Amino acid sequence: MSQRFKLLEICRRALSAFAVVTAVVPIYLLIKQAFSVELDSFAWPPRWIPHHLTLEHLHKVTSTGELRESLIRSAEVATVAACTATLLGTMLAYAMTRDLRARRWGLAALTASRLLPMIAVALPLATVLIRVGLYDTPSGLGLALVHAAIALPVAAILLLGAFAKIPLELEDAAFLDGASQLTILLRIYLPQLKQALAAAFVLSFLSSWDEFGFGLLLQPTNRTLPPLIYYYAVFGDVGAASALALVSTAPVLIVLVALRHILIRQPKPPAF
Amino acid sequence: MAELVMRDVSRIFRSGRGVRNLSLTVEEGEFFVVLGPSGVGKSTLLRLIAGLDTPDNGEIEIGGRSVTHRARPDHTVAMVFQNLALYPHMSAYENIAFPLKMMGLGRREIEERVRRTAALAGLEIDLNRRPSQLSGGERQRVALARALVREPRLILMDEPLSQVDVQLRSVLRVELKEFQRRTRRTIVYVTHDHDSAFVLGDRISVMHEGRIAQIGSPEEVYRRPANLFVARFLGHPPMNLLRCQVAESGRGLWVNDVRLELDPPDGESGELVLGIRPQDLSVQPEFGAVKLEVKVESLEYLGARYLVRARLGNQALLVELPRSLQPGQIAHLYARADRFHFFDATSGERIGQTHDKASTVTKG
Amino acid sequence: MRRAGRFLRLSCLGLPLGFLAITLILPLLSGVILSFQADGFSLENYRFVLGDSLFRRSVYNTLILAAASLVVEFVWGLIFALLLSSRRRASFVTEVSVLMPLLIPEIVFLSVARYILLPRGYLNGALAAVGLPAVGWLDPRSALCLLSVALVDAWRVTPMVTLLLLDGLQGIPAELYEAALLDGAGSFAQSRYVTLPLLKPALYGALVLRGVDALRIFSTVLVLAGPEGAPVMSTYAYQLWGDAMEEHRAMAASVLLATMIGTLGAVVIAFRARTRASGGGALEGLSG
Repeated sequence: MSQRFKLLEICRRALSAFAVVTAVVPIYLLIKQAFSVELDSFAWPPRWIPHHLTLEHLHKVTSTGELRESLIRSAEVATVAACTATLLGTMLAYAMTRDLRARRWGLAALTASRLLPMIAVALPLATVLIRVGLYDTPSGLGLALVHAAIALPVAAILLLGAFAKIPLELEDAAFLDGASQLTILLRIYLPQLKQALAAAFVLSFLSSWDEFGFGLLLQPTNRTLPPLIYYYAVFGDVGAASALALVSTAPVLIVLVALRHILIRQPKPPAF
Repeated sequence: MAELVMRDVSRIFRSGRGVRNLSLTVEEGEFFVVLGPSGVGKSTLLRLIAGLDTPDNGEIEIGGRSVTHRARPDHTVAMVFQNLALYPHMSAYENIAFPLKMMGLGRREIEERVRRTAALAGLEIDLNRRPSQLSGGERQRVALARALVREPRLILMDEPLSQVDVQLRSVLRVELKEFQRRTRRTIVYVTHDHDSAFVLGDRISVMHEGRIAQIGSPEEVYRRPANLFVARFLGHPPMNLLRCQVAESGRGLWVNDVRLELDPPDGESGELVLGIRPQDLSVQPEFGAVKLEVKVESLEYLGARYLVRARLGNQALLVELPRSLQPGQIAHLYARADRFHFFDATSGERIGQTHDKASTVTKG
Repeated sequence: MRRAGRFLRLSCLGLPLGFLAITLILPLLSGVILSFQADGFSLENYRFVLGDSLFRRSVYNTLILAAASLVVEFVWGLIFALLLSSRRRASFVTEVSVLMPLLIPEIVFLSVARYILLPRGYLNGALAAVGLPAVGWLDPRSALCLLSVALVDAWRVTPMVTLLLLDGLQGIPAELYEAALLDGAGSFAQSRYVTLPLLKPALYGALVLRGVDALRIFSTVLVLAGPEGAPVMSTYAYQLWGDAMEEHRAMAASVLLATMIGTLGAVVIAFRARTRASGGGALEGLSG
């Protein structure tokens, strides 16, 4: 028995070590490339430890117009997308917890929108956006709306869990206490939803910040970060691509590691 | 003066549940209990009175004014919910103050009224605590105080005691009754628990499938159930209900092939349902004049008493006795003739009233 | 319910659903219409796509890729889920490490993976260091390229599978294991008769969710192999649209992909409706 227990413990350790290595290597390489000179990046055999460190790539990211612009654009798009998704997700979750038929409709719509392949929506959407003048705009508004639609199910499901914890009677009680619909929303619901709203906002923001496919297809010249990283990584400058990737990764990692409890115990829609 | 009047009120949901053609009157200062199994329409009734729902038809009056089609609830009605519905993000004080804030009262007055009401509801705690930091009993009192603070004409309660454990429940029940007696508030209290109904109610209305099966004082509904439903629903263990046949002569009854020397109400013939409570039977001949010969099948020890399962004819009979009997034994049980209830076998309605003198005992 | 809230409730449902319809469903439908247009209504676009050997190859690649990726990520996902859920709680470092590929933005992860797998990349460098010949991990149109893409995809999404299965594992009450232990079940019997049956809804839900994602794979292929290295259905459509400027044909190809996924979804939902009692989780997985 103890022999077997020992074996199991060794397996556990080995697995943990494997997980740590596979997680650390990409991050290490990313950081290394972002700070090493061109020569180091193109050396053969590739250098695992850089010979010369430099800040030129990071400097380039913050000073070059295109890079800085896309950084700001990504932040704007993600903010608009997250606000829209959180607002609409809250409304949907509210309707779904207060009305059985709304629940069925909502669930069907959320499921359907999860099934759509990006390419089948993005190609015709480009045509539509061209027609309404939202294709490839400097502000990226068209893209932001699509990102909001993608993030909406996640936000709605997250808030659904939070709404389900608030008994219907609370609304009735407030109504009898003389509160208007607006008062009920602001003074009864909002204080109890704060955490879920924050989580929905952050996750929606990150899903937009990270999104690649729609960005590639709908903003071909006024690019957001992920497509820009793609172009730099595939067609050009390793150092700049890595520095840019690092800049886009750092805030994500900090937020997500801080929020990993929400992630690990991902809220599920209540059974019905 | 009648505080609450409901006339022919119906509210029927697609599931078929709800309230049907219901009429009732609650007097001022009365503790009125609505009793019935779950899903019978009790909560719908409360929601209609509260103004959380609107009847399909019928009229509702509170304090002499029609409230059937009010757009918003006014200050005349307050409600204590089953799960209490305390606002979890507000302190006890803020919970109680919320209705006053909504009325737009000044801070000074709110403070004064919250303190007074909290004392009235028996709250002797730090009011800055949140509901999650309070005990079950304290939460009950906060919910009560929130309902009272606006000084409503009518307080509605939807089984607020169902969430606390049995011991605390009986304490709070007595407290609530005491409170109501002292303040003479009009309360409509909904419950499925007949112990609560008996302790609290000045009058009890028993509901069945959206309708009122019987309204009366606790004694009335217990001693003279108006129909089989009420007979079965009130009392624990439930009343024995036996199918029986009126003898050809019109005197005496047959329960299967066993003859009972008990006269049916005048003018009845054919099949009846005979009811007798397990507590109304005894092994002592001086207990009553009607003799029943039963076969003991099994018994359960309940502490103070034994619950005997027996057979009369081929029908099951429960008896509560202070002493034990042998399974398999033939036993003689006695009961007063006026403790028997008769019901129509088809409609289930109560028939007449049995009197001691009406029944004569003859040797069979 | 209460009448006062009726309007609010309806608009709370209608606005988000309307938004989804305009941004996602409407474009999809207009894509379907456009895919039937070539000098008026015609099946010409579909005829072209279905007759194109590159498209047939991309369908084949999509299916192989999905299958390979699913197998790998579910084996590892289950192992990691067990690691994280075992009674001795995994350390913070392990927890974050297991989740790391999911935490890094997709495109960043993929470009690093690309640097590793390139002919003069870190993996070949490591091989050379121990005296082995370089391998063409991303050689266009090779089977190895397909395998590399599958492995990288699995590497990236294993954390998501881990999370979904972890959720299922944490839902199994500990008392059940104690009961099984008292009934004489060893650790193998416990996994066979307690863990596996109770994990089935979570497994099933994760499989559907990941299956859909695997079929619409796009960025992994594009970044690692380029649009022509290992064409899959979505990169095929992208290629037609972007480089060949064959808009309507591209839409025909993407409609075929959407139909494939939609059929899978419909089958799953119908199947789940029939075995509702046992097969929970699938729909939730999809919408979650």
